[in-house]
Amino acid sequence: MTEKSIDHTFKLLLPFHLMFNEDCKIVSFGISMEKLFPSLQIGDDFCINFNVDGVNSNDEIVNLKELVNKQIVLSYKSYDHIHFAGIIEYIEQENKYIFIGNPHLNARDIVIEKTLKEIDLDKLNSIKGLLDVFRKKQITNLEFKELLVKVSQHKKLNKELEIALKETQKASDSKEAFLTNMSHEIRTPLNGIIGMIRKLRKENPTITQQNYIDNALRACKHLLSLINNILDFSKIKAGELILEKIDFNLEDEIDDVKKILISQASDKELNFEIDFEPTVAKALIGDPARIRQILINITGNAIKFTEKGFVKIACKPISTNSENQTVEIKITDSGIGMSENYLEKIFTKFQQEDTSSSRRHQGSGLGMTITKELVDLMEGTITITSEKGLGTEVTLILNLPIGNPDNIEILDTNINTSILEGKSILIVEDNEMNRYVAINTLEPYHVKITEAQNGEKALEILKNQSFDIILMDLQMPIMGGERATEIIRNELNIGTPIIALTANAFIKELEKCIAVGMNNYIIKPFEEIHFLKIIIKELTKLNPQESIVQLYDLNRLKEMANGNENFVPDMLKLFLNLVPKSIDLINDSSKNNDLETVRRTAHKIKPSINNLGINSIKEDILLLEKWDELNQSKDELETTIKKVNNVIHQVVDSISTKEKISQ
Amino acid sequence: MNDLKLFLVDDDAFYLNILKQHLLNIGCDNISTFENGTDCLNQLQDKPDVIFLDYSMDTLSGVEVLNKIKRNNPNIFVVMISAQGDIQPAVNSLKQGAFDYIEKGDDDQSKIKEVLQRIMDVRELLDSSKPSIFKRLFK
Repeated sequence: MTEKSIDHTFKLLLPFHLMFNEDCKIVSFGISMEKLFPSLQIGDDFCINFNVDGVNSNDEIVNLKELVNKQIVLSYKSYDHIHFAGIIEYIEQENKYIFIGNPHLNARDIVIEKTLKEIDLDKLNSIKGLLDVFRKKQITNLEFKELLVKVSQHKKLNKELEIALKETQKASDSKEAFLTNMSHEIRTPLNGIIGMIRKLRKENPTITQQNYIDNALRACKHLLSLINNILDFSKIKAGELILEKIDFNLEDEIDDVKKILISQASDKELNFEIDFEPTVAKALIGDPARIRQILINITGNAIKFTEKGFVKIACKPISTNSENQTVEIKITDSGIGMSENYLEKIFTKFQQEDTSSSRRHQGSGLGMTITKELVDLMEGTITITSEKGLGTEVTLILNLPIGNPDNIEILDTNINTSILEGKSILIVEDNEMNRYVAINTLEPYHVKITEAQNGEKALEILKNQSFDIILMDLQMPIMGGERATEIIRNELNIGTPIIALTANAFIKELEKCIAVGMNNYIIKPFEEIHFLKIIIKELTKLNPQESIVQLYDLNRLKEMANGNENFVPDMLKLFLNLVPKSIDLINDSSKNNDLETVRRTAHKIKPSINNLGINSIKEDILLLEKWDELNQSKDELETTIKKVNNVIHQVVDSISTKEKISQ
Repeated sequence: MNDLKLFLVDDDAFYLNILKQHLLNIGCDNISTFENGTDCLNQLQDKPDVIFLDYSMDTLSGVEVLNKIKRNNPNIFVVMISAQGDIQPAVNSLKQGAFDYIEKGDDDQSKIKEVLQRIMDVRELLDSSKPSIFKRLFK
């Protein structure tokens, strides 16, 4: 270490020191002194420029030796707002005096403002240690320098440690960034896989094949939920997760949770109980999807870790005023329970009670962390009590504004896709598989599809052709979706609705889509129904008169059931067994010109169509029943049959995925 | 009405089940269902009081079944069921001995109830105007 660098280190280490010789001439001062008092120069007279309080009543400095080793307060005469408390030491070997101290607390703000932005005041405590060394007095210049070297080495070590710490932090950050990116990357092919499996399911597989397909689909959905968890987690960490504030019915949400999890519970022969107090407000305002996610997480865990007995969701209000209601949701189980040790760690990420148990109970260990974060975001509380071997009780308390039941958006999964018929759609997507999935999803609805592999190709097509809707991937080679949209909107001046297709579920990304002029977005991998809904929503905006008609309506059957719980599931089973066959028969007969069978079969399924309230094809069935080949063309017949066929397939799909059907 | 023994015949299993539910709803629970006329005819020894019979069936038509029932036991009340807009042939079946007909539609349950009520009334009338053998013997 050179003399110069030692001096510099010294100045840095003792930012508030002043060193002067026996003639009172200042020979060095600390870095902060330099910044505080720009006029201060080496060679200035210490005794003239500084006031020293606390030595004796006479403030004139008579003998420097008098000052040594006493607590003094020092101030610079030309700028005396700052007082320094400290001590003057005599360095015998060099015949120099040194003042070492700290600025007085009342001046802290000025000091911080002027000099200390880069120096941590609290770290200055090391000065005390140095003071002790000086007090021993035997220290030689050499020793002093050696000490400084040691200190600076120590500092260097500290710095290295700091760097190492930063690198660890960075590694941990990049691990998360890696996970986020990976999950993003995985979503794209997963979209393809799920789409293909769905398609396969519609190909009349044998029962064994059906079984394989269902298992594959279940595995995909599991994988997707893991990926979604990771994404959620990253979103929460990035402050990206924003809660919705809409009216919802808590009882419906809890029923949904049961619907989703009941099969898991019944696989293990667990009782799934719900105890819902009717005094809970019919409408609360919050984020129902996230509340459902919380409940599914907790209840899913309860089922996962319970081998026999029950799981129960109980919900009741604990306080209500005119505007808010505090509800308590308790999820109890008779499962394996948790040790107290583990309870403390349950909300930390990637935790499961022990590694061996994770073999029996799969999961990422992210669920509870996300749950906790979500509850925190909702400003609620979650507490867990558990006893090993006896069970667990999770109590969730949420304080939510009371809403208006009329504002609850009825989640209408019965959508009428007839609006799609004959519409032209441009799909801009570079990934062939994803293009294929989108096309396959839309194909049954008789839309006209045009494909483009990237933004540039899309622009070429758009110059000569117009479309009802454009589906636009964001990341594409040559020209991405955002740029293409900008050009479509600003240069080609085309107002066709553009729906972004993106695997990126981050709000910033989605906001960018809307900002460049897109109308909506669909996140890959998509649920078929959601995909269609968004497209239909945008199309409906264009043609408001074509309002969405319900696909089917079970109210009539439900009314008829009169308390017979099996009735509706029985009827749906009959419907699924009979009607598609009849429709196939109509199809075949029409091809064979056997119009008598067409008429008779249409006649026969009439009650099924009417009783299930499939009103969109009521007229068509009547038409088929009375088909008059002399006055009506073969083309008309085919169109009518096609429409009936489509609607029935939608109804069948919708019923088999959403309704309870007898086995 | 509750103790009537009922047969339901329709080759559309969907409507058959709806019909059954309607009857359960109005308190009839002695019900047998058949998806074709032949099966129904084979069970006539069970002596049903009322048979609800779909008019348009594929294999054995409603009218054929009606004729066979009447030949077997003319005292069974047969109610024809017809699809909407298909009344004329059903009306014709009245000439063949059907008691009444019901048009499948919106208000089936009350129509069924009404028909059954009339059957009860008619039976009562028949019973009172036709004294039993004992009564005749001791007169």
